[in-house]
Amino acid sequence: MAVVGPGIITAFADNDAGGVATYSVAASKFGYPILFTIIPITIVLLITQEIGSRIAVVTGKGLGDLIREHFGIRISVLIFSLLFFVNFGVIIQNIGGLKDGLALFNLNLWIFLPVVIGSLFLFITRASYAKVEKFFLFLIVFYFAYFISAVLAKPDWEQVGKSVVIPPSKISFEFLYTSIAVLGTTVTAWGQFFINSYVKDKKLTVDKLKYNRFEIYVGSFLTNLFSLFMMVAVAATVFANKVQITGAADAALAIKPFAGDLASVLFGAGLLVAGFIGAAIVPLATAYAFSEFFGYEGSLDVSFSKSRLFYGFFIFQVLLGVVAVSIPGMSLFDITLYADFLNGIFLPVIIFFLYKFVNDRDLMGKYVNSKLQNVILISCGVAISIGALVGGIGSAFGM
Amino acid sequence: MFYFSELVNRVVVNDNNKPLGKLKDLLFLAEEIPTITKLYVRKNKKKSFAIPIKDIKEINGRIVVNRDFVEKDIAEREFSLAKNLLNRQIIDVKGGKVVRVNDIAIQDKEEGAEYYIAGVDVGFRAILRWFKLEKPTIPLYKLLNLYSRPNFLSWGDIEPLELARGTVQLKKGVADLERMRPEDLADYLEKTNIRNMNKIISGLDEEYAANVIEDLNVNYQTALFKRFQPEQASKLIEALEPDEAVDILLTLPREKRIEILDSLGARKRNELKDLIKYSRTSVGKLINSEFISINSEITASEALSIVREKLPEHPFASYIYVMNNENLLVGVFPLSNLLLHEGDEPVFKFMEQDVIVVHLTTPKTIALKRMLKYRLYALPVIVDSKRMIGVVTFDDMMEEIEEKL
Repeated sequence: MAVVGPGIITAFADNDAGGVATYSVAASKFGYPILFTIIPITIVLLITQEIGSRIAVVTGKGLGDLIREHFGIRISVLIFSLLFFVNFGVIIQNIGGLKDGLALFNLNLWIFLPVVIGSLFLFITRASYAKVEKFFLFLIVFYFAYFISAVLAKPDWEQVGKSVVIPPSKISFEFLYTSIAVLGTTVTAWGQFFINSYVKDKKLTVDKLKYNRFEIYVGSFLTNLFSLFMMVAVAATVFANKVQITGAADAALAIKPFAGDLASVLFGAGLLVAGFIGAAIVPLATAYAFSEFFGYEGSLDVSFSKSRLFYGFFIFQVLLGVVAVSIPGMSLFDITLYADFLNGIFLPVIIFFLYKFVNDRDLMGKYVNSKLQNVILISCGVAISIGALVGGIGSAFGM
Repeated sequence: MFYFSELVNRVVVNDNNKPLGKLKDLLFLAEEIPTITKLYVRKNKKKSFAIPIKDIKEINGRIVVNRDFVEKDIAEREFSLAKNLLNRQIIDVKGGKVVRVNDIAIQDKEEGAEYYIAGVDVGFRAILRWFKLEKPTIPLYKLLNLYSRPNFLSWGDIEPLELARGTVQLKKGVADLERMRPEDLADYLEKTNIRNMNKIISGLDEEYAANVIEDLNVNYQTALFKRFQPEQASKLIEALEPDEAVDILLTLPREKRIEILDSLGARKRNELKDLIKYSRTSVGKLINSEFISINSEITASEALSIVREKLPEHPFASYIYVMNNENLLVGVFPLSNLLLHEGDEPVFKFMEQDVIVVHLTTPKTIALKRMLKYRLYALPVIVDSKRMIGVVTFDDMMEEIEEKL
């Protein structure tokens, strides 16, 4: 049990509010055929997460520590600034998701958003490490909402099964771009930093590597299973009835006439939880990275007074995010696209660092990557960069 | 004094003004006075070389070297400023925390004849310096009243967490670390990896090392003992508190545990084996087998001299346990009572005969309640009829509770 946490929590946090939005929109556009992306995404996620975690277990260092020690201060400042910027987009996505989720349930934004954010802050700063971890593990239960929504949507399960394993008969340019977006929302730059810091913070040692790897596989598998249900729920209702949606809250509403109130409520509840997890974990990832890059004490294991900068950094980002979503006329749909796109072009940079460190024999000893792992790692780096670039240019020119 | 950030990547020329390459690194001897020995210069992608410091003619402003210098390789005892110190984590021994080296200050002595590392800069201004923003931001600093706070640590006050280049260790040694509280050092060591942790711990005095190990996270304890040679492991196990030793032994694989136990002395081995056996019971894991016991028929002054002799080994003993001739527990009194009684008074006259005890089967919560009810810091653990095998202390109980919180 001692190893449970990093793999599962990071994997589920990858299905944050932005993830729910991207998956919903993708399923509403393409229906069942988009399900074919699930298996490749699971593989890419579990391979990248496993590598990140293995580096942390073997070296006892986070990605930030390693970049700083091997590439110096200037590169560190650059990478950190990029990470901050990209993560900030993701934070806005999640707080925006929270906002939409609250609106779905007709909860007053100006009362509940501060309450949710306030309790989040108190919880992260006051509760012990073990409690924070347990709480996040508990939240994952809410993802079952997607499973129930999917069942209520009465999909054609045979069709679902076939779509997962059989490639779609024609693959359009837009389909390809959407697939990359879905991949980019699940395999994230911050996720790579986060799992690394988390494993380090948990003080796992090499003899636990086997269990740690297993836990990561389980996490990747489960989180993508829920993504699958999410897409099934949307594909069976919204797509089948040719409704246009632009976000997750839209999807929750669009499901209602076809799958009933309960399915719609559960879908909305899932969005709320996803937003909450994302709004907590992404700023944490930045705070961890900051303390690694610049050497200030930072860990969930240290009390608030000792780690003021760490927690301060956390709060600062969340508040900035709240301010950003409160600006009238801010389009969350645009932000989602922008954040996914930034993440898409930043991720290959992170993959480059992972590749460097995991193949460094001085650092990793006998735990360096195998040839196959390297091939997969490099091909996802390349695929994501091409996808992000082509997709980004495509959407910029309104294609 | 100047900073490494100001030197690095500058062009090195000889006294004919012919460029030799860019300065990439400085090599130094990690001793009491960390003298800079060589400049490391990169000519192009393929060629790099080291220039001995004695061939340097100028370093501030331009870097000029003698035209007839001899290229050298890195010597075995030399460390690299850029690879072994800069950007690395160090322990700020005085301030008691782990920090990252942002820049390194170099001091010149006797008009540039010799250079050595004065210390490291761990502050934010050093980060600005790398971007050539330190000087432009000085007015801002002054405005915010932050200017007078440099974050500079002198060489004597730091200890690199990563001590080795290949097999060479910093000569500075780890003795400085023993100035710290072992609990604090344990916290800092948890910030590095097992390899470095192992190196540092192996350099410490055994008693001190044992205290540090007691405070490490259990995963690290296990990992360390898996790496130790049996000889080193058994020495440390001897130095640890028996209950801690048992905790660690129990996390190790069976073969490793037996190997360590076998290399211990017979007395210690049996003691630990008993404790391991008891550890399956409810209070078992908390039992500490070290306590001070005396015979009931001796006098207060005799008792006092026994205590004087034994106390250094049991510094935390708060009670003296009294045994009869069959070595069964018949009484107890707090250590401080010895001060109250006449020297010739026999112990059985003033000891408490109604001893509050726990058995191996006593649940932990009951044991804790007894401690609180009777206000006792430790309870004796007895087996069979009144044979005492150890004590459960309030401290260990608290640790147990802390883990649950």
